[in-house]
Amino acid sequence: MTLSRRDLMKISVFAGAAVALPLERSVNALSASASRIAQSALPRPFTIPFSRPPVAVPVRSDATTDYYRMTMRPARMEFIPGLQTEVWGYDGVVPGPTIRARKGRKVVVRHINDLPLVHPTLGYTPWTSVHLHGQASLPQYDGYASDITNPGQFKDYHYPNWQNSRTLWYHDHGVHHTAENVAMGLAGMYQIVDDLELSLPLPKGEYDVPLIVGDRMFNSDGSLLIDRNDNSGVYGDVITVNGRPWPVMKVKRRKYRFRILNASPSRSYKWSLDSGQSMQVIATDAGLMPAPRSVTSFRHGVAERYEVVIDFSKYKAGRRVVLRNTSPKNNIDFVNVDKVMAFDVVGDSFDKTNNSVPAVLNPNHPAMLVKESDAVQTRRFDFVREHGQWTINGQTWDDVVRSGFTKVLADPQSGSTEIWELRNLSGGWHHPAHIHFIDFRVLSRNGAPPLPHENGGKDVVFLGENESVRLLINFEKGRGKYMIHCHNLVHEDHDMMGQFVIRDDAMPADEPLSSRAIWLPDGDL
Amino acid sequence: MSGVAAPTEVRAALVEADGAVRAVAAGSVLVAAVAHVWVIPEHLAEWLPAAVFFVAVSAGQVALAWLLRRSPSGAVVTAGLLGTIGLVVFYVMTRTLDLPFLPAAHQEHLPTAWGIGNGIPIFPGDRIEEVGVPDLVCLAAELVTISALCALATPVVRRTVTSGLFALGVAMLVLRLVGPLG
Repeated sequence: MTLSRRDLMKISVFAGAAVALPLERSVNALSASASRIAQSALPRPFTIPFSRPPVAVPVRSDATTDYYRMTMRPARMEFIPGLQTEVWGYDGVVPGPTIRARKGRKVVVRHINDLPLVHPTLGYTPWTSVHLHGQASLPQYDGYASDITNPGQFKDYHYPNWQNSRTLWYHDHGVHHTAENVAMGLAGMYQIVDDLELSLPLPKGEYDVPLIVGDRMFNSDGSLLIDRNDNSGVYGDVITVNGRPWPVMKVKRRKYRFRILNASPSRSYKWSLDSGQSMQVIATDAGLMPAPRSVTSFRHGVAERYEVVIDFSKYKAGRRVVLRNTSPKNNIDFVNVDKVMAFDVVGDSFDKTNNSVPAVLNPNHPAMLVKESDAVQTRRFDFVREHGQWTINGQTWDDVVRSGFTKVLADPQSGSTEIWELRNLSGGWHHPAHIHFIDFRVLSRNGAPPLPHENGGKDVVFLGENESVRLLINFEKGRGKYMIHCHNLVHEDHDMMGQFVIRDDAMPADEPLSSRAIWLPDGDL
Repeated sequence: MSGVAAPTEVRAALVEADGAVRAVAAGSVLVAAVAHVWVIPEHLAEWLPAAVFFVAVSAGQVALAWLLRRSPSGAVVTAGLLGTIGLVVFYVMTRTLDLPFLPAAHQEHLPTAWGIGNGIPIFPGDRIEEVGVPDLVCLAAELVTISALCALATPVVRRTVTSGLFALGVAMLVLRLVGPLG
């Protein structure tokens, strides 16, 4: 009938464990980072040679079009000396091969999904949807998130390349797991060149260098460690440039053009040189700026592309110049993420042509010629976290799916001009906002003129905490549904993505889901 | 007179104590049942089997409270003890282990047409539930229930169960220290 003191003590041991263990687990929520490789096992910065991604070769060409065939497949890379890491790459390469296109000449890429049926650790089926970021693609070739290609399927993507020269990139956009697929390596560069660019004396050839910057984290066995950090973002403690951790590049004593692409899932950067030297920003997302802008540092959000010219003629041979990152607010930082790569100046001879930056680059960029007075409407888009979900004007991609892909955030008329005001009203995070299909001009940031490096055509705009921007957009040449979303890929996946429709009452648009993937085997391309 | 109570007084006191312990057991098991009923709607929205589980548990606990109105048989006390201990152990497991048969968090998206599976990654810890206020209320009530039922059990059952609880508690703490739990 009664419990002895001994009975009570025995029960108390059980009760104590039952109360304490779950509470302790809740307080110190198990992080995927628990298995992170030790800092001491990571390569030391600036010990690994720089490399460039390979250039893609078309499988055939005809009078109007170049045809490429790319297979997304697993591969193994050695990021950490002595350890193999499974990655997923276009043609098994991370970053993927660079496609170089001429303005006016079409490209068709057959993207084959040869990925495993299930992700090795995260258990999902890696369907894909390839978005060529910066290309004015038709809706069915734009990498619409729900237009998926399962493992064992392929899809031909058609790219018109009618836009001016620019640095683009192709990456996965498959609904629900874009962050994981891109973190696994599904990203590569694409360039359009035009006659104007070729006519300018900007650095070319070996002096025109892609810098695809990412950040990665590894388990102690060398496998990729992907941690969504409570859906705030995927951050790594290893900075990679073209897939190499903190590489070192030999540079000659002349000017170099660097096409910097932030291909990180979530991290934003602020670049500077440890010498204090300025860089000349010559191009933004949508190509050459009207005029170069000289800056000593600038902020670079996810998916943005900035091209800079750095003049190494100022240094003696033997000098090392480090590209640094003073991290903008709201990233998750680690010991060496303040370093990116190093340039070791050498005294080798070099080609002295194409070694300058003209005062005028592209004075006729269409996005920069649009007049604010032509705007017929102003719309507002609020990027907000509500009840744990990332939303735009309170809507998510699930809302679009639930509507049968009819729900839109905006419906501008084809050919019209509008002002879109994008706001991040919160503290605690930033949103790199991407609008598909169109180029825009930043009219103002927080009521002030845009930052110097933003004075060019763009398709991504960085929204720091409590920031708002006003964008001027002309919807020329377009019709149909396109996505607008946060390019922090975790925010995009959960579920800060919506769509708008460019209306053209005279001509119906193709639907984004009108050209579905096909099961292998594929035929001739 | 000496201070020794008469047999009838002893019996009366024992009956009174038995009634008080049964009342505590019945009350605490009812509190646990209410806590389980409380979380049925949210589990119904997430995963039907979980809701069915909580309906069954609640019904069982209400039945136990009903049986505790009068002096229950040894079998009822033993069954109530083992069932409640099992619930507490299962609670600890769901809050500390990635149990593969449970649904993962962040799976709330709509199905993707033409897709194989739901396409949603499952991260370490995604199947571990967070501790909430109803959990703590329920856990406290069930621990009181266990103590009260132990008091109602026969000496042999009581000794066996309390020793088992001690071993379970030590095992959970050891498993935490060496890794698997939490």
